[in-house]
Amino acid sequence: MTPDDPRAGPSAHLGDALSALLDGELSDADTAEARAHLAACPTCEAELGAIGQARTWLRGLPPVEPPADFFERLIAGSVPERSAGSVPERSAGHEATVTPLSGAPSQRRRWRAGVAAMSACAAVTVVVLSVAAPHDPPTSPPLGRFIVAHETEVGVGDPVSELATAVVPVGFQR
Amino acid sequence: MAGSGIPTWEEVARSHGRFLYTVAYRLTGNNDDAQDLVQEVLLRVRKGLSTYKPGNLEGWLSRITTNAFLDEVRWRRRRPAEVMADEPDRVLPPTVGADVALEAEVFSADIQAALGRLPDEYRTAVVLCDVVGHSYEEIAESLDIPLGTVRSRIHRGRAQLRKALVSGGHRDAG
Repeated sequence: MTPDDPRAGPSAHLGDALSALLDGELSDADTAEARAHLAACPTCEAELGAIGQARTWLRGLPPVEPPADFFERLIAGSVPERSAGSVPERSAGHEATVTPLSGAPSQRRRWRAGVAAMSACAAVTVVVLSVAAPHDPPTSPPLGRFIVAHETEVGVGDPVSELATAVVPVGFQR
Repeated sequence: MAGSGIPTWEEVARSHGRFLYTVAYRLTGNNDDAQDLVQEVLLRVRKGLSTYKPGNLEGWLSRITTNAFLDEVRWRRRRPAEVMADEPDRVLPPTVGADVALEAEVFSADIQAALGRLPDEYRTAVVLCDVVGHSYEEIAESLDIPLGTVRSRIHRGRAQLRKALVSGGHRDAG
């Protein structure tokens, strides 16, 4: 097979129409035209086989399992930093051999803090305090102590305690 | 679901967590980045739920996920100093033994690694097509690109992936 097949020059090859053909994205007329071309062009026929193989491989990839309790902890606002060693693939344990990246922690914290904060907003003050305070000692002690003190004095249910909920995201470095 | 038919972000996390995580993992190629991406997606889900019209939730989530992923890609490109070092998980593991099932699992990791080496734009289109199962029209809408560009990216992505896997000696061309 040569790139310059006399029956169909390079410009006439089907190219990305082959993927569209496999995906059922061609009109009936274009499909018929493509099939007629394929019958006479070994270059395109070979490419169709190769593209079809890649497509089959990709579509056969298994679902990926998040680390255990990932979403529940996310909802509870207590996702820990990192999760090295978790198994990503439900049925393909060998993808667990991938090594987690070690870079860009600041951005991870940015995202994680954001979700934690959005959980915090939805949570009862007391729950937020119990979950959040131990995770953010570097920046939150003064605020945390204030909230805890306030909590002790005022108690849950007092309208003022709503303010404590509202300021908790500050404690998450937002 | 709430009475309005619009789910809360917590419900989305519980009902579509694995879907979200699978898409995020296929896009990012590792657990840490997948977790960060999922959290960013849930932040956007929370913000966007008020304007979400009950319908194709997975389509909506896929759009948010790919946009968040591409935003992250652009963010990294603007900050070359913070670009991650060589990513260890992108190194293909050695092919193991004669066990067919084991080989299939390893090959799944090989496909993921090859997927990770595709240009981001190709990978996004391929994931939306072959992992999520979207039509070209849906992908064009999600990525806000012309239909012809979708077709071209999917085709080139598949072709590059197949070439990488075959030339890398991880699977025979047949």
